[in-house]
Amino acid sequence: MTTGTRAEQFVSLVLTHQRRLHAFIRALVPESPDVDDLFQQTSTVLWRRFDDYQPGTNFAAWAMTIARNQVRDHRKSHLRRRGVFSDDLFDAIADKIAIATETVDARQEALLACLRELPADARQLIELRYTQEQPVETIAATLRRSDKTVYRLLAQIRSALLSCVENRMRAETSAAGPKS
Amino acid sequence: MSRTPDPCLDELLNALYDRGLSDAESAQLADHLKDSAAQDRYVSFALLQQSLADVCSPRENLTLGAFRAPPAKPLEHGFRARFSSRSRIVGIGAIVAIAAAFLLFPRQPLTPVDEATGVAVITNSVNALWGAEGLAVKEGAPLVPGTLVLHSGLAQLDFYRGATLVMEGPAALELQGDKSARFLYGRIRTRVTESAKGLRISMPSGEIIDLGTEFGVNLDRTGQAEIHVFDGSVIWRRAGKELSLEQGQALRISPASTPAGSTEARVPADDTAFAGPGKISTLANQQVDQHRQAWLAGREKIRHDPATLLYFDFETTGSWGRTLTNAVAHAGMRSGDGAVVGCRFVAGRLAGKQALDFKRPSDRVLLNVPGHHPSFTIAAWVRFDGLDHRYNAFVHTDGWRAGSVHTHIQADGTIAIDRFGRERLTSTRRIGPRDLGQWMHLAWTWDDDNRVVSLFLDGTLDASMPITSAPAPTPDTPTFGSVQLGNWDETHRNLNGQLDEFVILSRALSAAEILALSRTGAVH
Repeated sequence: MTTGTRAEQFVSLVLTHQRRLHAFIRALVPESPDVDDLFQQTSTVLWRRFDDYQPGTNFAAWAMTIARNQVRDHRKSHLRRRGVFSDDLFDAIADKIAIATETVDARQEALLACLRELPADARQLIELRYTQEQPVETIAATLRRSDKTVYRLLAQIRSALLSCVENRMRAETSAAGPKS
Repeated sequence: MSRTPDPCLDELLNALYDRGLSDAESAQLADHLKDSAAQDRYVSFALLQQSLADVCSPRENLTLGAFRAPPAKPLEHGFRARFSSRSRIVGIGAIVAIAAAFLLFPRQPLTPVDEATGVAVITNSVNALWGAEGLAVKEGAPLVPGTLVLHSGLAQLDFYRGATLVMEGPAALELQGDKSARFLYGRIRTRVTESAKGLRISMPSGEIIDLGTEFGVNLDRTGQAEIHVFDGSVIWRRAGKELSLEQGQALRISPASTPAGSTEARVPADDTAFAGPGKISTLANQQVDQHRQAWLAGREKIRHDPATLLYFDFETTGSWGRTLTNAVAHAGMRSGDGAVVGCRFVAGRLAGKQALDFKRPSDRVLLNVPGHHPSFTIAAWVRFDGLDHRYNAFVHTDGWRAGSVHTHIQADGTIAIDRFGRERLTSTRRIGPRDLGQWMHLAWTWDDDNRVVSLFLDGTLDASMPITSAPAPTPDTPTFGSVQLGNWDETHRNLNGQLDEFVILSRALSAAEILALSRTGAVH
């Protein structure tokens, strides 16, 4: 049974999994400003090879395999920007990211709840850094704090958010009972 | 699994996302990541980073290229609104512990300034010297309501509703709307087409209502005025009085403050006393030559400056028009020629001068700038025609590593200067709709001696910040090396705009020198 055209199926699948796919690529090229481009390239390749995809199988896994190859090619063409992973580690880390991104939506929900609990000043800092995408130096100047202080505060907030998110996820998993 | 996180690892991970890593730090992190627990920590960090970006981003950056469809589930646009409820959560202790650190933060409004609506535009001018006390004037750029102060010279402005007005300095005119103005002093001549009639000009001695005509007004600072009608008719009105003036008629009005009270006297109109668009055109043509001479003189100075590494005037091109000749005249340290990929040569900012147009995703200029330059200046005449991408490339060194020099315009219109892992300077001014299609002089200096990086727009300082990072670690590494103009690698950040003159000098020019540079051959 086919619902809609092939293109519609494709768009629907990509939209369903785009956040995970984006997170996967971003985690694989942490230092690169090319995440959006890689995502776009990957989307193009996915469409071009969409005939290879077996409906009903795991689209995310298939897409991440293709994304991984895109990133690998990208690393080859940007030798100097190969980044923090050696080629040996690349696959091991990619495997871990692929698994972890399964919970990307749940993590986001948890993060929203955790952000809600942040004191207003910490929220402001997060907003400056992530909503306004300001560099630390600019934030420091705005808030009349040293760069060092802002780096330290951001590190503390991230650390707090990480434990909060992980605790929430753990609580949720245990509340929902053992999962298959 | 839940081992205490390694503080060194966390430090590196934070640095990775806040300022980028140096080569040495990258190696350290790579070393950490051989450990499986460290890999897990990294993955958690990376996903947190992604979630934060998703949740907080003001715009959703996920694009599907050609597949334009609405997102299946709208993502959060900023999380501010979501903070109203208070639910008990785990992990709050850690957060409360850091709360105290923020209590003293000052609050600052961070809303961008809205673009005001234009009412008129300067379409031609000759030797116009605008007063700084009035509106900032740029030919071709929309004018918002406010006062135009013209010290000397001639300027032609077109109201959006169709009236054309020539001001002869010294003169001051307050723009109130797209069909109304308050005349303060000086000499103006205006032509209003039938379809646009209804222009109102108020002055101390009454108000002029245009009925589709051409007329001139001379107003001295005591309030003495003369209205000359050359074509059609106007109505002059002052409390209790209304007079109609026809073609060939003029009215002399004394100010109300004279002992005899205000008086009006009819006199013949004098067409030759008021400069019109024809005179401006004639003078403007003469001025083109002067500009070209001034530009040529400035060009020689740049070519012979021993600090000039690279100078593209876009006039001298090699075979097939695919090579940009470095016009530097001295034999000292200099860069080679540039290679043009794509791009078209078009008419530049001066009559008879060329510029290079960047439009397509592949358009770019490739060049190589050898040598280590602790201080430098990059300056260009640039015209942005659109900000199509999240990052719109201006000048990029190849690669993205410690010390890389990157200058781009962000989607919000701010100009960002990045040296990877080091300073990032963002412009105060934003490139807005009013700036598109306008030539602008953009220059920035990296002054290693005085430890300051500065950005200049149209010759004036826009933003600067101290250099806090240590000097580049290895003096034998080229500061620039391979450079691209208007593009960067294969990514979607090609410039939509034009370049007319591009120069790199191996010293930081002073503010006065930048100003002089921006005035050389500047368009009016």
